[in-house]
Amino acid sequence: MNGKKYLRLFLYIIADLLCFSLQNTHGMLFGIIGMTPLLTCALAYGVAVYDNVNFALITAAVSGVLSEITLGSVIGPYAILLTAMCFLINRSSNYFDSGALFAVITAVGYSVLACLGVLICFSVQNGINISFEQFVNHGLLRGLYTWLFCVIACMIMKKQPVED
Amino acid sequence: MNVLRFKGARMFAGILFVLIGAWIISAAVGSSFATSVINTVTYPIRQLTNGAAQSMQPEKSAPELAQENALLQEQINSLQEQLVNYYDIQKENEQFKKYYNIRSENAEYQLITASVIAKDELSGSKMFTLNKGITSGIKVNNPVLTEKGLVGWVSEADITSCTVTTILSETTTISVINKRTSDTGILTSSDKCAQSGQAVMTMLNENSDIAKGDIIVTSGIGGVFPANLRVGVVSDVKFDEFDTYKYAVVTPYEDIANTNEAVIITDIISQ
Repeated sequence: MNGKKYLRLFLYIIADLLCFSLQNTHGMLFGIIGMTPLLTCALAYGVAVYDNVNFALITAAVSGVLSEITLGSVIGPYAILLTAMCFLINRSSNYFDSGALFAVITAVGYSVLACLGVLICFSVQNGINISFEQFVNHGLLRGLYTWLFCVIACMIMKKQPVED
Repeated sequence: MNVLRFKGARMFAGILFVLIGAWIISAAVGSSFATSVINTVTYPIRQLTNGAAQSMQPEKSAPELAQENALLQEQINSLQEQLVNYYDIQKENEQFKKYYNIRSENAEYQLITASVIAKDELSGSKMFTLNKGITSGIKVNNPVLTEKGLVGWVSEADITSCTVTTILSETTTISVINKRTSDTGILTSSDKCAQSGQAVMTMLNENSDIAKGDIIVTSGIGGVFPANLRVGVVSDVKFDEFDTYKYAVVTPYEDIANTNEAVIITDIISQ
């Protein structure tokens, strides 16, 4: 990797920390029925679609760890889930010419799974059961809201050349 | 087929290994160190985002604040009214409890509860006014008592109020009896005894062995006061200044000077 790529990776991590701060600042993001999007997950998705696999994995791992820190849960399981999903997305995105179209189709499932993962980690950590209302709000609604930002992330990012 | 030959598979395996290690360490010792590191690193960013979020909060205008203030003041007034009502209801409830106890003990009497609305400052604890009158069936000479005992009798009755002369007044003359010895006497008072909240049992038989601690109740003789209404307890037995006759100092069961509610016997339901 040359210096430019290292810089790009560094900027991804900084962006990750910025998204982490934004999504944890009360009143910063517009909430829908109190639900705010997971910007860190959306960033990881964008990197997975448009950049190389190594950057996708590192960004996803950092996003996952930051989410777990927010929840106060043990570090590891959610980051592994997010990393695995971004790995699959990165491998799949190479078969699509249009990243935005790929995002519109696949980001829904990714976002909903990512938000459900957060909910499950929180429930396991605190020993509480997930109610149907929580499943709908924190899983589906938040997932759809996050999907929107996944699409925005894909529209902002530029497709990087595929590495050998 | 070597899985690790897939593009990114080695990086994925490496990151997986690191995350599993972090998971084990975090489960063992907790994630407070990682949390504190991340919080320290993101502190400047969070300061910026918090400041931005606060600046985005719309400030209330003066008319909005005035309206909110008026609404809150209205709520305070309403709550204060409810508080006053609550205390009234609480007091009424206590009054009903006392009334219930008196009613249970005096089932043969028709009782009306009343509250003290005025006390004569000049006469001390010798007279007070209740808030029930002729319209409630009150008549002159009706006995007045509390759950503790007899306090007096109705000396005047108006349409909506009545004046009660207490057993500490020298105008009171009630026929009473000693429960232990069955000695009868007349309950009255004097200025000196009234000041200490005590009545006097006079007209005792010279052979009476009335003693301190004896219980005094109404005798029912004369037909004005029903029998067996508790009056008080003998606190002393004395002779008059000429040593001619004996009298007993009676301390009423009820603290008459501080009476605020009372019950009036208006009729006897059954003999």
